[in-house]
Amino acid sequence: MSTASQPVLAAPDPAADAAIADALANLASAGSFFTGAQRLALARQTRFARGLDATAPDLPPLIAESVSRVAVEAMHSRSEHVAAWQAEGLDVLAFVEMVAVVAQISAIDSYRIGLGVDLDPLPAAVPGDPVPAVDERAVTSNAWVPTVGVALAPTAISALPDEKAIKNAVAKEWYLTDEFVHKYDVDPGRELSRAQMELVASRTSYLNECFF
Amino acid sequence: MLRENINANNQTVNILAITDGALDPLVPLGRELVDFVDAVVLLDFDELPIARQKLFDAGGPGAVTRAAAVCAGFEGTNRIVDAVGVPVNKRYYDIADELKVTIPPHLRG
Repeated sequence: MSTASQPVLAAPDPAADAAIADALANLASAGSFFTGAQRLALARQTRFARGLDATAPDLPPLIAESVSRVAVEAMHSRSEHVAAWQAEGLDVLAFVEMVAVVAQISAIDSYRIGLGVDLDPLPAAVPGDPVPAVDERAVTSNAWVPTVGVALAPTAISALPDEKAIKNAVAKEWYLTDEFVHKYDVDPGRELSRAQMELVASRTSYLNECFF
Repeated sequence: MLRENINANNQTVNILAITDGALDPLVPLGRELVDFVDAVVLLDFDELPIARQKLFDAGGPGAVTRAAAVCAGFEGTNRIVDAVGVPVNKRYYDIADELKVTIPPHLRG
């Protein structure tokens, strides 16, 4: 997707760009359950499902289906989908990793689309085998996957601390750190007021049929 | 969170504009922000340049960047919480009623 013929109407944000560069490098590196090449295939499938890439990568059908669902109709997710994943012999935390990758590339792509610039090219895969980095405190409580503590938005992928950390690193540049999300009387010092940012957030969630 | 922000800062905001795009949110740049978000989330590449230009004209380049950034963050988070089944906090049930949206049974904690 190219928008090179259009003038860029957005202010540069070098800190966000740096966080995104780190996130993309992380995406191309081995995670807890997937190799870098496999994680990039998840990202390409995400772009394909969203109509942002014409070519689908070669992925096992269940994984391709799962990625596409999270990418374009996450609101239709059910516990049965996690059960089906596990019935294939896949680890539930690999499901969490898949979700984290799909969410990360979806978010980065939406940012670039909003700015009116080209999507980031996906980096080359970094060789290496997955090494599970799992928070052993994670247990399944009120969500469909293990979390550290009660499952809330900030803890949803907490079983995989590396995925959570890279997501948070980008999120704090884009919006607010978890520490300030619920401090409504704190001026975020952004180009938009807190009310304006919450309007953007709320409308985004509404359109995604998400109740967060 | 919009409601909590309104209460904390004693502001007037029409939260019904979240679910009814025809309503004025009563926030500065509200109409431009809603139109911009709609185009980004719905990947409406016909409307997006128009919405971006209007937001730029009314709020400047910083408004475009921050709106894209906040929208993007929630594009990611929305997918995560729905995909792993994070239930909706009970304290949001009232506002869901107010907005006339139904929390599906599988997300009621």
